[in-house]
Amino acid sequence: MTKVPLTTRQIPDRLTHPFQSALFSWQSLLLLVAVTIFIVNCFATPYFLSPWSLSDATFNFTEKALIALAMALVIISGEIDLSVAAIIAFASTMMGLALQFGVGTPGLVAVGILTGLICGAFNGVLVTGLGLPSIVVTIGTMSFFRGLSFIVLGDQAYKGYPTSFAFFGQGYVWWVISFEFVLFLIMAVLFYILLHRTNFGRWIFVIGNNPIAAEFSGVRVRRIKLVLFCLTGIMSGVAAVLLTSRLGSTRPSIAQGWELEVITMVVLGGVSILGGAGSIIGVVLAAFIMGLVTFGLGLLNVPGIVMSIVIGGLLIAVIALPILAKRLQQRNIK
Amino acid sequence: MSSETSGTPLVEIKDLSIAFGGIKAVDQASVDLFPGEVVAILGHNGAGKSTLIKVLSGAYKRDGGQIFVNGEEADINNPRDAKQYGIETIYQTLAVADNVDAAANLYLGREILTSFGTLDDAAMEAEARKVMGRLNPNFQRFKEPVSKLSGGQRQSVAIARAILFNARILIMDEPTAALGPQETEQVSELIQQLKKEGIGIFLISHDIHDVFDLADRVAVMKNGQMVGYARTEDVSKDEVLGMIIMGKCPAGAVAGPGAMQEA
Repeated sequence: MTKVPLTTRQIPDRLTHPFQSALFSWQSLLLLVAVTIFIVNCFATPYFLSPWSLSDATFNFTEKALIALAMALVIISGEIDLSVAAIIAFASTMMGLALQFGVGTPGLVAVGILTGLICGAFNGVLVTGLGLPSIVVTIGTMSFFRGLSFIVLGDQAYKGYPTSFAFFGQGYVWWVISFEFVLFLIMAVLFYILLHRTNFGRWIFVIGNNPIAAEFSGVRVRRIKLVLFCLTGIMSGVAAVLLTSRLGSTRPSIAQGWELEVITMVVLGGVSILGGAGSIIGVVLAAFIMGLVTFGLGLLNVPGIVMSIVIGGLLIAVIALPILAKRLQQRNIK
Repeated sequence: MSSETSGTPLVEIKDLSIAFGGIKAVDQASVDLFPGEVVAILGHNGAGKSTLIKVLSGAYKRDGGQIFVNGEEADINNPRDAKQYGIETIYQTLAVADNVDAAANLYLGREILTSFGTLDDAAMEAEARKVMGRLNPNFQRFKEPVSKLSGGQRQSVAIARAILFNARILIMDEPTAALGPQETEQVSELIQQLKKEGIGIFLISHDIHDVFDLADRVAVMKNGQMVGYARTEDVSKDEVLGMIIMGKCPAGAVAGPGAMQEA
């Protein structure tokens, strides 16, 4: 055997430069799309580019986006919650019911958020305690919660919320900056820290990828999933407070179909529908995109039914595109 | 059992039984493991070896029997309990989470946190570099998710994770089944090093060739029962094969309850 002089070889600890991977990431694509839609909107209608108009645009998506933040965590963990819109309806109904008993503004907010928490915990217990698939459980509770609202309300509506209650959905913190929008920004930062900077967030990613490895590493998988369902419940309760306050009334058909828009936001934001991947920044960007698109279409007098076609198409496209791109890539390698 | 091993065993499993809906997957099986020893648990698919070991790692609850760790009875009901007794399990397929990097896998469930309660990724990566440097000096790809690593690299991440937290007892399920020759060599070197540190290792395999040279003793299972125990130096591979296939105990082995009865 001949002796080879021993030299160390420099092996890179990552294959692509971080700047390069950031440049070609889903987030930068989303940012590009958001800016494009913004510019298109500016040219499409003269009413778009004014502070109050833009402020109105934020109302269009903040309530859904608040739920999307929590939904992102649920989907990354490999589960899904389809009952969020029904929770809004039920929480709003419970607030209306509390109003009939003379409960004041702080009490109404507490009732809304608490109802959301209980509904979320109910989902979570069915999924983690009984080990049922979340898609089936939440399809069931989607009908169940909304059905309860219909039983309580029938074709009636609750009205007459106190004036101080209107602040949550209609109030402004400063100039054109609404309370809803500020709340969304604060929540986005908190969820970013939770998902990307804490061990709880890391466990969510690992559970979505390999729940058995997580369990064998001592991660309490079922408890974490229960917490995540409670979290979507709470955020749905918060959205119920905002929406009820903004509309000033409760009907059982409130927030109909929102679960699809929330999930579209999450998936558009780059969260893998199969679990294990995603980011809060992506979800926030996707929320802005959805808000700008629907608001722009609204200014152009596009009817609601066309908008739901656009959103449905968007959902299919964002799920299909990465899969198709991957297939194309694999074909090229062969 | 083996007469030459003395002192308190690291683990002693006594008359352990577990049934799934009337089928006795493990029936009154006993096995022990001493510090610095490698015991291979062999048997066909369905012989009960994985089930036996999953009870030890906390994945299944036993119906009967006892587990002793360092001579004291252990109460193991879930993987967290098993960890507290220093028992770590490495599964071939389930070992790592693909979507995060090596350091995140090493510290999964026991993350280092900053004083703000957030993840201290820099500290974890620095520790990971130290540990991995000892196990597998060629390993450099610390910033990539584990899905981009080779089979051997993933296996070394899994093993590093197990030993990082002072495991005393290591369970390795088919440790070399998916590895190439060079990577298998790496794993066997690693096992030698762990033995020197006094760690006891259970190797689970259905393929005797994978583990015969690594093990000090073999314990063979068939139909949920223990066929027998033998020191690898006292028996040949063919004799152990006879134990696995026919339940026939050779002269060099100690017969268990599952051994074929000579009529």
